Amino acid sequence: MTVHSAAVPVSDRARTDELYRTHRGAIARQIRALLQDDTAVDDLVNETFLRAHRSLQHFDGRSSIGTWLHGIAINVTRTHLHKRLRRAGLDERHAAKVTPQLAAGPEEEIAAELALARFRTAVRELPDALREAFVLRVLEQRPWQEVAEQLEVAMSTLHGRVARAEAIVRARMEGT
Amino acid sequence: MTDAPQTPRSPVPRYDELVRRAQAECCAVTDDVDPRQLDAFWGHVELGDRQARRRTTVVQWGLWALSGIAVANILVFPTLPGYTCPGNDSVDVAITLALPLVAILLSLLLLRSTSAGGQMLLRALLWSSALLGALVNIVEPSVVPVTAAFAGVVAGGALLILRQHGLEPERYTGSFAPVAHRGVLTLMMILAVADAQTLVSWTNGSYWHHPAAGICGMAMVVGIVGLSRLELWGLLLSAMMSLGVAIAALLGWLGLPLGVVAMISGTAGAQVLLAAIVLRSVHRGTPTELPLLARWGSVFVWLVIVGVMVASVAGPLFADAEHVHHHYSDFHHRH
Repeated sequence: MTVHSAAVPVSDRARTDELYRTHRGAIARQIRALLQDDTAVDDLVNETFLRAHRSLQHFDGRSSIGTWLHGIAINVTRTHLHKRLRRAGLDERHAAKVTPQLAAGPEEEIAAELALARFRTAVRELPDALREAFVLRVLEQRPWQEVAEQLEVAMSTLHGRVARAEAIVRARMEGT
Repeated sequence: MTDAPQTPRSPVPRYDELVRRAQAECCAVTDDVDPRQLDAFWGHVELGDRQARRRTTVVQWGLWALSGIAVANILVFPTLPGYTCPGNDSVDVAITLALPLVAILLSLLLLRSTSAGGQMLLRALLWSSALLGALVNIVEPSVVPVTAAFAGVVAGGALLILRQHGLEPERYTGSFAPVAHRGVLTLMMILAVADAQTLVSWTNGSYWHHPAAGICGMAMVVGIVGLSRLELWGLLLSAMMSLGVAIAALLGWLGLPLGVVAMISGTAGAQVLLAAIVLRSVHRGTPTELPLLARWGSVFVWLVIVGVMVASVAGPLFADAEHVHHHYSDFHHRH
Protein backbone atom coordinates (compact mmCIF):
# COMPACT_ATOMS: atom_id res chain seq x y z
CA MET A 1 0.00 0.00 0.00
CA THR A 2 1.31 3.43 -0.86
CA VAL A 3 0.46 6.34 1.40
CA HIS A 4 -0.35 9.56 -0.44
CA SER A 5 -0.04 12.89 1.31
CA ALA A 6 -2.53 15.32 -0.20
CA ALA A 7 -0.41 18.34 0.75
CA VAL A 8 2.67 17.12 -1.15
CA PRO A 9 3.01 18.16 -4.81
CA VAL A 10 4.00 15.32 -7.13
CA SER A 11 7.36 16.88 -8.07
CA ASP A 12 8.39 17.32 -4.41
CA ARG A 13 7.28 13.80 -3.68
CA ALA A 14 9.30 12.38 -6.56
CA ARG A 15 12.37 14.33 -5.46
CA THR A 16 12.03 13.17 -1.87
CA ASP A 17 11.52 9.57 -3.05
CA GLU A 18 14.74 9.83 -5.03
CA LEU A 19 16.61 11.31 -2.06
CA TYR A 20 15.30 8.57 0.20
CA ARG A 21 16.33 5.78 -2.16
CA THR A 22 19.78 7.25 -2.75
CA HIS A 23 20.77 8.33 0.75
CA ARG A 24 18.80 6.20 3.20
CA GLY A 25 21.57 3.66 3.76
CA ALA A 26 24.26 6.24 4.47
CA ILE A 27 21.97 8.24 6.77
CA ALA A 28 20.95 5.11 8.68
CA ARG A 29 24.61 4.12 9.13
CA GLN A 30 25.48 7.54 10.46
CA ILE A 31 22.55 7.60 12.89
CA ARG A 32 23.35 4.06 14.01
CA ALA A 33 26.94 5.09 14.69
CA LEU A 34 25.93 8.24 16.58
CA LEU A 35 23.38 6.41 18.71
CA GLN A 36 25.55 3.32 19.20
CA ASP A 37 22.41 1.18 19.21
CA ASP A 38 19.58 0.18 16.86
CA THR A 39 16.60 1.23 18.98
CA ALA A 40 15.49 4.40 17.20
CA VAL A 41 17.37 4.29 13.89
CA ASP A 42 14.31 3.87 11.63
CA ASP A 43 12.36 6.63 13.40
CA LEU A 44 15.25 9.05 13.21
CA VAL A 45 15.90 8.22 9.55
CA ASN A 46 12.25 9.02 8.80
CA GLU A 47 12.44 12.21 10.85
CA THR A 48 15.57 13.25 8.94
CA PHE A 49 13.90 12.80 5.56
CA LEU A 50 10.69 14.44 6.82
CA ARG A 51 12.62 17.56 7.80
CA ALA A 52 14.55 17.48 4.56
CA HIS A 53 11.29 17.15 2.62
CA ARG A 54 9.82 20.17 4.40
CA SER A 55 12.94 22.27 3.94
CA LEU A 56 13.90 21.37 0.37
CA GLN A 57 13.01 24.90 -0.72
CA HIS A 58 15.59 26.28 1.71
CA PHE A 59 18.43 24.12 0.38
CA ASP A 60 20.76 26.73 -1.12
CA GLY A 61 23.17 24.38 -2.90
CA ARG A 62 26.23 25.66 -1.05
CA SER A 63 27.07 22.06 -0.13
CA SER A 64 26.07 18.78 -1.76
CA ILE A 65 22.61 17.49 -0.97
CA GLY A 66 24.22 14.50 0.76
CA THR A 67 26.18 16.76 3.11
CA TRP A 68 23.00 18.71 3.82
CA LEU A 69 21.09 15.52 4.63
CA HIS A 70 23.87 14.26 6.89
CA GLY A 71 23.77 17.62 8.70
CA ILE A 72 20.04 17.21 9.33
CA ALA A 73 20.64 13.66 10.57
CA ILE A 74 23.26 14.93 13.04
CA ASN A 75 20.81 17.53 14.39
CA VAL A 76 17.96 15.02 14.62
CA THR A 77 20.15 12.52 16.46
CA ARG A 78 21.55 15.17 18.79
CA THR A 79 18.04 16.29 19.77
CA HIS A 80 17.02 12.65 20.31
CA LEU A 81 20.04 11.96 22.53
CA HIS A 82 19.40 15.11 24.59
CA LYS A 83 15.76 14.14 25.10
CA ARG A 84 16.71 10.60 26.02
CA LEU A 85 19.35 11.78 28.44
CA ARG A 86 16.98 14.27 30.06
CA ARG A 87 14.16 11.73 30.30
CA ALA A 88 16.17 8.98 31.79
CA GLY A 89 18.78 11.06 33.65
CA LEU A 90 21.58 9.23 35.27
CA ASP A 91 19.57 6.00 35.53
CA GLU A 92 19.99 5.36 31.83
CA ARG A 93 23.71 5.93 31.95
CA HIS A 94 23.89 3.52 34.83
CA ALA A 95 21.68 0.98 33.05
CA ALA A 96 23.71 1.25 29.87
CA LYS A 97 26.83 0.50 31.83
CA VAL A 98 25.60 -2.55 33.66
CA THR A 99 23.11 -4.25 31.38
CA PRO A 100 24.76 -5.16 28.09
CA GLN A 101 23.16 -8.05 26.23
CA LEU A 102 25.46 -10.93 27.01
CA ALA A 103 25.69 -14.01 24.86
CA ALA A 104 26.30 -17.31 26.55
CA GLY A 105 29.77 -18.44 25.62
CA PRO A 106 33.37 -18.65 26.61
CA GLU A 107 34.94 -16.12 28.91
CA GLU A 108 36.65 -14.23 26.05
CA GLU A 109 33.37 -13.73 24.25
CA ILE A 110 31.61 -12.35 27.34
CA ALA A 111 34.55 -10.08 28.15
CA ALA A 112 34.58 -8.81 24.56
CA GLU A 113 30.87 -8.04 24.65
CA LEU A 114 31.21 -6.23 27.96
CA ALA A 115 34.09 -4.20 26.56
CA LEU A 116 32.09 -3.32 23.45
CA ALA A 117 29.14 -2.24 25.61
CA ARG A 118 31.46 -0.01 27.62
CA PHE A 119 32.91 1.37 24.39
CA ARG A 120 29.40 2.23 23.13
CA THR A 121 28.55 3.95 26.42
CA ALA A 122 31.81 5.90 26.30
CA VAL A 123 31.00 7.12 22.76
CA ARG A 124 27.41 7.99 23.70
CA GLU A 125 28.56 9.99 26.71
CA LEU A 126 31.02 12.14 24.79
CA PRO A 127 30.00 15.82 24.49
CA ASP A 128 28.04 16.44 21.26
CA ALA A 129 30.88 18.08 19.33
CA LEU A 130 33.40 15.38 20.23
CA ARG A 131 30.97 12.49 19.62
CA GLU A 132 30.04 13.76 16.18
CA ALA A 133 33.68 14.28 15.17
CA PHE A 134 34.67 10.84 16.52
CA VAL A 135 31.81 8.99 14.85
CA LEU A 136 32.13 10.64 11.44
CA ARG A 137 35.91 10.44 11.27
CA VAL A 138 36.89 7.35 13.28
CA LEU A 139 33.90 5.02 13.01
CA GLU A 140 32.56 6.04 9.61
CA GLN A 141 36.07 6.82 8.30
CA ARG A 142 34.88 9.71 6.18
CA PRO A 143 37.50 12.07 4.70
CA TRP A 144 38.75 14.85 6.97
CA GLN A 145 37.66 17.55 4.54
CA GLU A 146 34.13 16.16 4.27
CA VAL A 147 33.74 15.90 8.05
CA ALA A 148 35.05 19.45 8.57
CA GLU A 149 32.55 20.72 6.02
CA GLN A 150 29.78 18.66 7.59
CA LEU A 151 30.41 19.98 11.09
CA GLU A 152 31.23 23.50 9.84
CA VAL A 153 34.54 23.66 11.69
CA ALA A 154 38.12 24.41 10.68
CA MET A 155 40.37 21.43 9.95
CA SER A 156 42.55 22.19 12.99
CA THR A 157 39.45 22.26 15.22
CA LEU A 158 38.33 18.91 13.82
CA HIS A 159 41.77 17.34 14.43
CA GLY A 160 41.64 18.60 18.00
CA ARG A 161 38.13 17.25 18.59
CA VAL A 162 38.95 13.82 17.19
CA ALA A 163 42.13 13.59 19.26
CA ARG A 164 40.29 14.62 22.45
CA ALA A 165 37.45 12.20 21.77
CA GLU A 166 39.86 9.33 21.17
CA ALA A 167 41.74 10.18 24.35
CA ILE A 168 38.54 10.22 26.39
CA VAL A 169 37.22 6.93 24.97
CA ARG A 170 40.62 5.27 25.35
CA ALA A 171 40.88 6.48 28.95
CA ARG A 172 37.37 5.21 29.70
CA MET A 173 38.23 1.80 28.26
CA GLU A 174 41.52 1.53 30.11
CA GLY A 175 40.13 2.91 33.33
CA THR A 176 37.47 0.19 33.66
CA MET B 1 68.18 -15.87 38.01
CA THR B 2 64.43 -16.01 38.34
CA ASP B 3 61.98 -16.04 35.47
CA ALA B 4 59.86 -12.90 35.10
CA PRO B 5 56.22 -13.64 35.95
CA GLN B 6 54.23 -14.14 32.81
CA THR B 7 51.17 -11.91 32.38
CA PRO B 8 48.21 -13.95 31.23
CA ARG B 9 46.76 -12.82 27.92
CA SER B 10 43.82 -10.47 28.63
CA PRO B 11 40.51 -11.61 27.14
CA VAL B 12 39.42 -7.94 26.92
CA PRO B 13 39.87 -6.53 23.40
CA ARG B 14 42.11 -3.50 22.95
CA TYR B 15 40.85 -0.06 21.90
CA ASP B 16 41.79 -0.56 18.24
CA GLU B 17 39.97 -3.87 18.11
CA LEU B 18 36.84 -2.26 19.61
CA VAL B 19 36.96 0.53 17.04
CA ARG B 20 37.19 -2.10 14.26
CA ARG B 21 34.17 -3.94 15.67
CA ALA B 22 32.15 -0.72 15.96
CA GLN B 23 33.10 0.17 12.35
CA ALA B 24 31.92 -3.27 11.20
CA GLU B 25 28.59 -2.79 13.01
CA CYS B 26 28.05 0.55 11.26
CA CYS B 27 28.74 -0.99 7.87
CA ALA B 28 26.18 -3.74 8.50
CA VAL B 29 23.39 -1.33 7.47
CA THR B 30 22.91 -1.80 3.72
CA ASP B 31 21.95 0.70 1.01
CA ASP B 32 18.94 -1.37 -0.07
CA VAL B 33 15.58 0.33 0.38
CA ASP B 34 12.54 -1.83 1.01
CA PRO B 35 9.35 -0.32 -0.55
CA ARG B 36 7.70 -0.82 2.84
CA GLN B 37 10.28 1.52 4.37
CA LEU B 38 9.34 4.18 1.84
CA ASP B 39 5.64 3.68 2.63
CA ALA B 40 6.40 3.94 6.34
CA PHE B 41 8.25 7.19 5.66
CA TRP B 42 5.30 8.72 3.80
CA GLY B 43 3.04 7.58 6.64
CA HIS B 44 5.38 9.47 8.97
CA VAL B 45 5.09 12.56 6.72
CA GLU B 46 1.29 12.28 6.75
CA LEU B 47 1.23 12.03 10.55
CA GLY B 48 3.65 14.97 10.90
CA ASP B 49 1.53 17.12 8.56
CA ARG B 50 -1.62 16.29 10.52
CA GLN B 51 0.03 17.22 13.82
CA ALA B 52 1.39 20.46 12.33
CA ARG B 53 -2.06 21.41 10.99
CA ARG B 54 -3.65 20.71 14.38
CA ARG B 55 -0.98 22.75 16.17
CA THR B 56 -1.38 25.71 13.80
CA THR B 57 -5.18 25.64 14.05
CA VAL B 58 -5.15 25.70 17.85
CA VAL B 59 -2.70 28.62 17.95
CA GLN B 60 -4.64 30.43 15.24
CA TRP B 61 -7.92 30.22 17.16
CA GLY B 62 -6.21 31.37 20.33
CA LEU B 63 -4.74 34.41 18.59
CA TRP B 64 -8.06 35.27 16.93
CA ALA B 65 -9.76 35.07 20.33
CA LEU B 66 -7.06 37.32 21.84
CA SER B 67 -7.40 39.92 19.10
CA GLY B 68 -11.20 39.81 19.54
CA ILE B 69 -10.81 40.48 23.25
CA ALA B 70 -8.38 43.34 22.56
CA VAL B 71 -10.81 44.93 20.09
CA ALA B 72 -13.68 44.46 22.54
CA ASN B 73 -11.52 46.05 25.22
CA ILE B 74 -11.01 49.10 23.00
CA LEU B 75 -14.65 49.40 21.96
CA VAL B 76 -16.47 48.56 25.18
CA PHE B 77 -13.73 49.19 27.72
CA PRO B 78 -15.84 50.28 30.74
CA THR B 79 -18.11 47.25 30.61
CA LEU B 80 -15.36 44.63 30.81
CA PRO B 81 -14.94 42.88 34.16
CA GLY B 82 -12.02 44.09 36.24
CA TYR B 83 -12.53 47.72 35.31
CA THR B 84 -11.60 49.80 38.38
CA CYS B 85 -10.55 53.19 37.05
CA PRO B 86 -13.39 55.66 36.59
CA GLY B 87 -10.93 58.36 35.51
CA ASN B 88 -9.85 56.38 32.52
CA ASP B 89 -11.00 56.96 28.95
CA SER B 90 -11.09 54.62 25.99
CA VAL B 91 -8.72 56.65 23.78
CA ASP B 92 -5.70 55.80 25.92
CA VAL B 93 -6.65 52.15 25.94
CA ALA B 94 -7.01 52.16 22.18
CA ILE B 95 -3.51 53.55 21.75
CA THR B 96 -2.07 51.32 24.45
CA LEU B 97 -3.53 48.25 22.80
CA ALA B 98 -2.90 49.30 19.19
CA LEU B 99 0.60 47.91 18.82
CA PRO B 100 -0.04 44.69 20.79
CA LEU B 101 -3.06 44.17 18.52
CA VAL B 102 -0.90 44.73 15.44
CA ALA B 103 1.62 42.27 16.91
CA ILE B 104 -1.09 39.64 17.36
CA LEU B 105 -2.41 40.13 13.81
CA LEU B 106 1.13 39.96 12.46
CA SER B 107 1.64 36.73 14.43
CA LEU B 108 -1.38 35.28 12.65
CA LEU B 109 0.22 36.10 9.30
CA LEU B 110 3.60 34.67 10.30
CA LEU B 111 2.14 31.45 11.65
CA ARG B 112 2.43 29.78 8.24
CA SER B 113 5.79 31.29 7.33
CA THR B 114 8.29 28.66 6.19
CA SER B 115 11.41 30.77 6.72
CA ALA B 116 13.36 30.69 9.96
CA GLY B 117 13.46 34.51 10.04
CA GLY B 118 9.65 34.68 9.88
CA GLN B 119 9.31 32.04 12.58
CA MET B 120 11.83 33.85 14.80
CA LEU B 121 9.86 37.06 14.39
CA LEU B 122 6.70 35.14 15.31
CA ARG B 123 8.38 33.89 18.50
CA ALA B 124 9.56 37.44 19.29
CA LEU B 125 6.03 38.81 18.84
CA LEU B 126 4.55 36.07 21.03
CA TRP B 127 7.22 36.50 23.70
CA SER B 128 6.78 40.27 23.82
CA SER B 129 2.97 39.93 23.96
CA ALA B 130 3.19 37.44 26.82
CA LEU B 131 5.78 39.51 28.70
CA LEU B 132 3.83 42.71 28.17
CA GLY B 133 0.67 41.00 29.44
CA ALA B 134 2.47 39.85 32.58
CA LEU B 135 4.24 43.19 33.08
CA VAL B 136 1.04 45.23 32.70
CA ASN B 137 -0.85 43.02 35.13
CA ILE B 138 1.95 43.14 37.69
CA VAL B 139 2.74 46.88 37.47
CA GLU B 140 -0.70 48.30 36.65
CA PRO B 141 -3.29 45.55 37.03
CA SER B 142 -6.23 47.91 36.61
CA VAL B 143 -5.48 49.15 33.08
CA VAL B 144 -6.50 46.24 30.86
CA PRO B 145 -6.56 43.23 33.23
CA VAL B 146 -8.62 40.87 31.07
CA THR B 147 -6.77 41.55 27.83
CA ALA B 148 -3.37 41.45 29.55
CA ALA B 149 -4.20 38.14 31.25
CA PHE B 150 -5.40 36.65 27.95
CA ALA B 151 -2.28 37.99 26.20
CA GLY B 152 -0.07 36.25 28.75
CA VAL B 153 -1.97 32.98 28.60
CA VAL B 154 -2.62 32.83 24.83
CA ALA B 155 0.83 34.02 23.69
CA GLY B 156 2.56 31.86 26.32
CA GLY B 157 0.38 28.88 25.38
CA ALA B 158 1.20 29.44 21.69
CA LEU B 159 4.91 29.39 22.51
CA LEU B 160 4.49 26.13 24.41
CA ILE B 161 2.49 24.55 21.58
CA LEU B 162 4.79 25.73 18.78
CA ARG B 163 8.02 24.83 20.61
CA GLN B 164 10.79 24.64 17.97
CA HIS B 165 8.52 23.76 15.05
CA GLY B 166 9.48 25.78 11.99
CA LEU B 167 12.82 26.66 13.58
CA GLU B 168 14.69 23.52 12.55
CA PRO B 169 18.37 24.32 11.83
CA GLU B 170 18.09 23.41 8.13
CA ARG B 171 15.58 26.24 7.59
CA TYR B 172 18.11 28.93 8.43
CA THR B 173 19.57 30.63 5.41
CA GLY B 174 21.78 33.67 5.66
CA SER B 175 25.22 34.98 4.95
CA PHE B 176 26.65 34.49 8.45
CA ALA B 177 25.38 30.99 9.46
CA PRO B 178 22.60 32.41 11.66
CA VAL B 179 21.74 28.93 12.92
CA ALA B 180 24.86 29.05 15.08
CA HIS B 181 23.56 32.18 16.80
CA ARG B 182 19.82 31.54 16.78
CA GLY B 183 19.34 31.82 20.53
CA VAL B 184 21.00 35.22 20.74
CA LEU B 185 19.27 36.46 17.58
CA THR B 186 15.86 35.44 18.94
CA LEU B 187 16.64 37.20 22.22
CA MET B 188 17.61 40.36 20.29
CA MET B 189 14.35 40.22 18.37
CA ILE B 190 12.29 39.74 21.54
CA LEU B 191 13.98 42.74 23.19
CA ALA B 192 13.47 44.89 20.08
CA VAL B 193 9.75 44.06 19.78
CA ALA B 194 9.23 44.51 23.54
CA ASP B 195 11.02 47.88 23.41
CA ALA B 196 8.85 49.04 20.51
CA GLN B 197 5.69 47.97 22.36
CA THR B 198 6.81 49.65 25.59
CA LEU B 199 7.66 52.85 23.74
CA VAL B 200 4.25 53.07 22.09
CA SER B 201 2.41 52.13 25.29
CA TRP B 202 4.22 54.65 27.48
CA THR B 203 4.12 57.59 25.11
CA ASN B 204 0.41 56.88 24.57
CA GLY B 205 0.85 57.80 20.93
CA SER B 206 1.51 61.48 21.72
CA TYR B 207 4.22 61.74 19.08
CA TRP B 208 3.35 65.35 18.35
CA HIS B 209 4.79 66.12 21.82
CA HIS B 210 7.72 63.73 21.46
CA PRO B 211 8.58 63.30 17.78
CA ALA B 212 11.80 61.54 18.76
CA ALA B 213 9.71 58.70 20.23
CA GLY B 214 7.94 58.24 16.91
CA ILE B 215 11.25 58.27 15.02
CA CYS B 216 12.70 55.75 17.49
CA GLY B 217 9.61 53.55 17.09
CA MET B 218 10.08 53.57 13.31
CA ALA B 219 13.81 52.90 13.72
CA MET B 220 13.01 49.89 15.91
CA VAL B 221 10.60 48.50 13.32
CA VAL B 222 13.26 48.92 10.59
CA GLY B 223 15.79 47.17 12.85
CA ILE B 224 13.37 44.30 13.57
CA VAL B 225 12.66 43.81 9.85
CA GLY B 226 16.40 43.87 9.11
CA LEU B 227 17.09 41.32 11.83
CA SER B 228 14.36 38.99 10.59
CA ARG B 229 16.10 38.85 7.18
CA LEU B 230 18.93 36.96 8.92
CA GLU B 231 21.56 38.82 6.96
CA LEU B 232 24.61 40.57 8.35
CA TRP B 233 23.37 43.99 7.23
CA GLY B 234 20.14 43.38 9.17
CA LEU B 235 22.10 42.55 12.31
CA LEU B 236 24.23 45.70 11.97
CA LEU B 237 21.19 47.84 11.19
CA SER B 238 19.35 46.50 14.24
CA ALA B 239 22.36 47.18 16.47
CA MET B 240 22.68 50.74 15.15
CA MET B 241 18.97 51.41 15.66
CA SER B 242 19.17 50.09 19.23
CA LEU B 243 22.17 52.28 19.93
CA GLY B 244 20.24 55.29 18.63
CA VAL B 245 17.24 54.47 20.83
CA ALA B 246 19.46 54.03 23.90
CA ILE B 247 21.12 57.42 23.30
CA ALA B 248 17.77 59.16 22.64
CA ALA B 249 16.31 57.66 25.82
CA LEU B 250 19.30 58.67 27.94
CA LEU B 251 19.29 62.25 26.57
CA GLY B 252 15.62 62.58 27.54
CA TRP B 253 14.40 63.07 23.97
CA LEU B 254 11.66 60.47 24.35
CA GLY B 255 9.85 62.24 27.23
CA LEU B 256 9.61 59.05 29.26
CA PRO B 257 9.64 58.59 33.05
CA LEU B 258 13.03 57.73 34.53
CA GLY B 259 12.14 54.09 35.21
CA VAL B 260 11.08 53.52 31.60
CA VAL B 261 14.17 55.35 30.32
CA ALA B 262 16.32 53.00 32.39
CA MET B 263 14.43 49.97 31.06
CA ILE B 264 14.48 50.97 27.39
CA SER B 265 18.09 52.14 27.38
CA GLY B 266 19.04 48.98 29.29
CA THR B 267 17.38 46.61 26.82
CA ALA B 268 18.61 48.65 23.83
CA GLY B 269 22.12 48.50 25.27
CA ALA B 270 21.70 44.75 25.76
CA GLN B 271 20.82 44.41 22.07
CA VAL B 272 23.97 46.27 21.07
CA LEU B 273 25.98 43.99 23.35
CA LEU B 274 24.31 40.86 21.92
CA ALA B 275 24.98 42.08 18.37
CA ALA B 276 28.64 42.60 19.30
CA ILE B 277 28.80 39.05 20.71
CA VAL B 278 27.33 37.62 17.50
CA LEU B 279 29.68 39.68 15.31
CA ARG B 280 32.68 38.51 17.34
CA SER B 281 31.55 34.89 17.02
CA VAL B 282 30.96 35.31 13.26
CA HIS B 283 34.47 36.73 12.93
CA ARG B 284 35.93 33.80 14.87
CA GLY B 285 33.73 31.23 13.15
CA THR B 286 32.39 29.86 16.45
CA PRO B 287 28.77 29.46 17.61
CA THR B 288 27.34 31.61 20.39
CA GLU B 289 25.23 28.80 21.86
CA LEU B 290 26.12 27.69 25.37
CA PRO B 291 26.52 23.89 25.74
CA LEU B 292 24.43 23.95 28.93
CA LEU B 293 21.56 25.71 27.15
CA ALA B 294 21.76 23.25 24.26
CA ARG B 295 20.80 20.44 26.64
CA TRP B 296 18.67 22.20 29.27
CA GLY B 297 17.61 25.35 27.41
CA SER B 298 14.18 24.01 26.44
CA VAL B 299 13.36 23.06 30.06
CA PHE B 300 14.45 26.50 31.27
CA VAL B 301 12.42 28.27 28.56
CA TRP B 302 9.38 26.12 29.38
CA LEU B 303 9.59 27.15 33.05
CA VAL B 304 9.92 30.85 32.15
CA ILE B 305 6.88 30.71 29.84
CA VAL B 306 4.76 29.02 32.51
CA GLY B 307 5.95 31.66 35.01
CA VAL B 308 4.93 34.47 32.65
CA MET B 309 1.50 32.89 32.10
CA VAL B 310 0.92 32.53 35.84
CA ALA B 311 2.11 36.10 36.51
CA SER B 312 -0.23 37.55 33.88
CA VAL B 313 -3.23 35.86 35.50
CA ALA B 314 -2.15 36.26 39.13
CA GLY B 315 -1.28 39.99 38.85
CA PRO B 316 -4.86 41.33 39.04
CA LEU B 317 -5.90 38.66 41.54
CA PHE B 318 -3.33 39.79 44.10
CA ALA B 319 -3.44 43.50 43.32
CA ASP B 320 -4.41 45.98 46.03
CA ALA B 321 -7.42 47.64 44.35
CA GLU B 322 -7.16 50.88 46.35
CA HIS B 323 -3.46 51.30 45.66
CA VAL B 324 -3.93 50.49 42.01
CA HIS B 325 -6.68 53.06 41.70
CA HIS B 326 -4.53 55.85 43.16
CA HIS B 327 -1.53 54.82 41.11
CA TYR B 328 -3.48 54.94 37.90
CA SER B 329 -5.12 58.27 38.78
CA ASP B 330 -1.64 59.73 39.39
CA PHE B 331 -0.50 58.40 36.05
CA HIS B 332 -3.41 60.13 34.33
CA HIS B 333 -2.88 63.34 36.21
CA ARG B 334 0.75 63.45 34.99
CA HIS B 335 -0.34 62.99 31.39
